[in-house]
Amino acid sequence: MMQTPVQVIGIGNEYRCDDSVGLVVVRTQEIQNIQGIQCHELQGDGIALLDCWTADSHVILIDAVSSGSKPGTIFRCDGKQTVTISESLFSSHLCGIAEALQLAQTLQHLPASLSIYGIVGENFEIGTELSPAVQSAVKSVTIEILHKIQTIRQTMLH
Amino acid sequence: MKTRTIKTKALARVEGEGKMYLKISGATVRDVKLKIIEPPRFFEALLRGRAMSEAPDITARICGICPIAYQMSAVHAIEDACGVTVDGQLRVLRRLLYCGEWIESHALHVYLLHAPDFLGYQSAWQMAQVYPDIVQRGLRIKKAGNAIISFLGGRAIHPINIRIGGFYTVPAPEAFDELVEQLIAGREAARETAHWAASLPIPDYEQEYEFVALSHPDEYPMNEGRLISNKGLNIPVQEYDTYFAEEQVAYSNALHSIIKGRGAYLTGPLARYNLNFQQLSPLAQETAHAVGLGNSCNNPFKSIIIRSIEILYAFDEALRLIGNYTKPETAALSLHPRAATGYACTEAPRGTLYHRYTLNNDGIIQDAKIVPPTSQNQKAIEQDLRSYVPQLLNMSDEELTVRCEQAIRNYDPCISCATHFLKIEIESE
Repeated sequence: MMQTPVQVIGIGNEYRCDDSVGLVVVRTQEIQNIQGIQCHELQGDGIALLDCWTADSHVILIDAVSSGSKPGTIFRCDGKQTVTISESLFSSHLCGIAEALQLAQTLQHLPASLSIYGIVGENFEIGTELSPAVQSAVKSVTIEILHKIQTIRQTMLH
Repeated sequence: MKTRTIKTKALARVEGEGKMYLKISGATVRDVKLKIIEPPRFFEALLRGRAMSEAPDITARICGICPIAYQMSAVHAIEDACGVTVDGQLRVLRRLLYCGEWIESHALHVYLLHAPDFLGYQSAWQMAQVYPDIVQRGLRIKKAGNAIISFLGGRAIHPINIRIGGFYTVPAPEAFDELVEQLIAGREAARETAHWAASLPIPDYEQEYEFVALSHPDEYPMNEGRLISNKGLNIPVQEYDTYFAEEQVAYSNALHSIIKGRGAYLTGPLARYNLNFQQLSPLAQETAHAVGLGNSCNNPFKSIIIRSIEILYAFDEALRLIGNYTKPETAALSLHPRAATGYACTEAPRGTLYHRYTLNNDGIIQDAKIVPPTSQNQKAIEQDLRSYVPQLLNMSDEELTVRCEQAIRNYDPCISCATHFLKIEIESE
């Protein structure tokens, strides 16, 4: 039987401390050991996101967030909800996730489901270490993602 | 005398942070300054004391769009210092990799960054609402370019398979089969792109430039050649510092390049095309003529068409290279360091990229110099605005600003390379 296409995408710069948290989650043994999913690591090029999925994909996307909230806080959102962006944000070669999702929506290229997990970082300076609060969040969000994948698969079976 | 002061928000669709200042007095442009406000990044200093083997990976981090250009200029310059020439099928693979970067970088600029200017949209996604099929085509082309880089480089951004002397691993010819299908489709999409780009409303504007690009007797320039210009320059890249200089200007964090004794010059697709048209493939030449281009072009706004021709050429060339490819016996040549200085210019999507490294006997970098294309084009950008703006003085401030941004984007400036967003400030009096 065909597996439900599940894509887990981590986004970040591995040399900017907490910015790498999306990559760290994707690299965990718990995620890597799941059979039949595809893992992707992106360095921030939003346009590359559009190449990661097809219309029947169930996508889980993890990225670092800089919001002023307490470090390690996990934000969750449905990426298929309308994303509103400022025109001026589409301003560099490497367009961001919001701009890429807006483009995907316009081109009717959004996946079947898109769950976004944003983890609030504390330190985005040069380096490869995660802050303790962000490291703790990796464990929590990994468990959530495992449950999410289970739920996606069960839903598809019914 | 009428005084106009125009200040705009950040200029979108360029890479990096900068501002443009215009001072207009009556019908005269009094002052133009391209102000790069992005902080200096000190890559040249960062390279000192590092092993020569690290240069390709360190310099690749200068840019997420054209890492191949940095890697290629770095490896060629260090190989020059070591007295080694990488030839044969390893050279073929390097050129193929460069084709991938030209395709992905040009497709991004043509479709997502520059085309909205010509069609009157503020962004690519706005344009996508009206022209979804066209934007989809651009994304398919970009994806094909990325596929080449991922295939040979290990990943699309900051590839990891490039090393001094060659590659860490090289593919078997049969491994290209899937990629070839994608490239054949991409070549047709590129031909359509050239016709579409030529149908865009192109401003009627021409300028006399000194075009500077590499030139090679056997091929359209990418990895090597002599530096030539339409005003008599014809030098080996080892003499770059004799003929070119970098100047500090008080208002910018990026150095301005000049040709000594002559000043501003232009590098990039327009220069390559004007100096090397005969080296384009028959298909690229035929298509250029079919869409109304001559063998030369002095209208910088037509750079969007010329980039499309270069995309077509890059697909054509990539397929030719793959068709003749045989697996090399070794993935990389051995290099023995020596105390010497090495030089290289390669053709990044935006223009000529110069690297110079001085090594000691242990292969430790003692000194490094990197001159990216955007640094070289800053003066030409300022000159374009100085001569273009007087044609636009009957426009509203808002319209004038939009047209200036479009003129700046003719150069696909990568400000991050040159030292990120561009703000335009127009002061009229």
